[in-house]
Amino acid sequence: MLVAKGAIGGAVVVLFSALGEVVRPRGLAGITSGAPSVAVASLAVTVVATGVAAATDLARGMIAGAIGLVVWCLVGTEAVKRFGALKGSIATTGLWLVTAFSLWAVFLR
Amino acid sequence: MTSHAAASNASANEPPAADVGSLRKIRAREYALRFGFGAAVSVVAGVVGLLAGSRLGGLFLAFPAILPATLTLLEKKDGVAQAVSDVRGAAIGAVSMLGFALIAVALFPRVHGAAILVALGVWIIASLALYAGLRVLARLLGERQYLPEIPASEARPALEGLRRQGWTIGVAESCTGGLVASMLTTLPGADTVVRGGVVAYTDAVKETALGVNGDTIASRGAVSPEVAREMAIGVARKLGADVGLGVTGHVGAPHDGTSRGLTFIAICLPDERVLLRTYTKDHGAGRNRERDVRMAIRLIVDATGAH
Repeated sequence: MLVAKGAIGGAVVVLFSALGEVVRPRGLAGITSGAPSVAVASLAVTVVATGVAAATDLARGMIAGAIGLVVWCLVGTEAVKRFGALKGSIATTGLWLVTAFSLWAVFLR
Repeated sequence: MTSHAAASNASANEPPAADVGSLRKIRAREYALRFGFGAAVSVVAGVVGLLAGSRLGGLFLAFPAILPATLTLLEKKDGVAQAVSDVRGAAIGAVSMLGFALIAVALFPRVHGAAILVALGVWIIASLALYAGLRVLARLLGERQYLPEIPASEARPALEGLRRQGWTIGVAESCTGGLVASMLTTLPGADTVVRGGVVAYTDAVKETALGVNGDTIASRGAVSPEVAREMAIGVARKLGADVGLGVTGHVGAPHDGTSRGLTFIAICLPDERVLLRTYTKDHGAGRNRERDVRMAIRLIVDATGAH
């Protein structure tokens, strides 16, 4: 199941990335950077291999992760401007971890 | 001699479009990198789910895995403004992703696997609606802090045209605040064709630094075809360039009775001909500036291609 999730997840990410390269302007193309690529693959494999209950729990966790991603993007805009793409985005990833895990610990554990 | 183009508002801002040819420019290594990140996060989500429960594993379905790599590549290729625009777009995708997750949770017990398709459809519709809504909102607010969404690579045909003609260029900018010169000098090899630039934001600087006639400013206004023409001629003369570009327009609300969004762009050529473009439509301050930069670059391309 893990191999299938990895292979399909990687493929869907590449698909959305290619879409992002084709679309103009960049603000519109950037939407694909927030696409549920990994989610589509993981949820589909989970539904087939494990069942709907496990997939529903995955999606519940994803709510916390998505809120973390919204925070990441809002802070990331300023961080990338100030510190550049690599440093800014990696630093902001720490914020995603704090936000997502805090929400999980409070509401989902 | 001045060739004055008819007032045009076409191509003011880059409209939504698809460029399939750009896929060929991506190296296999970049695809492999993205596949690797996507696969790795999928596996991490799966392993965490097995060890600590699906809810904890589910967090990683929204992990910003490929964003650092994508943004770094983008910054390298097209500049930091493009990377920032990408994050703004990603924010729209992320908000819609929250909708995806909520729909999936609500529909899995009812329609099983089909919930994923419905959630994906909601994500697409919500993303496009948010994007369109924010564009309208930004225009209404004037977008004063807007960073132009123009890849530096768009200036390449202008530089190549100048190089092909064997011309050097000097740039005089008012409303674009140096953005045209910045774009031109971002590209490698710019030093052989770009002599320099003058940001002549005030009337006094237009007169002292560029030699624009004070009477012209007083009688025609700082935002006028005559001033754009004199800026272009003046900057070429002052910087010893073969070609001079002059851009003058209103950044915000005008105080002289002319219309918001009015811009004149002039280019003077070695044979003393001056080409002039006029833009009159208002797209909001930030978008007007984006249009002005893009149209100034295009005027250089047109001027160098017309010979």
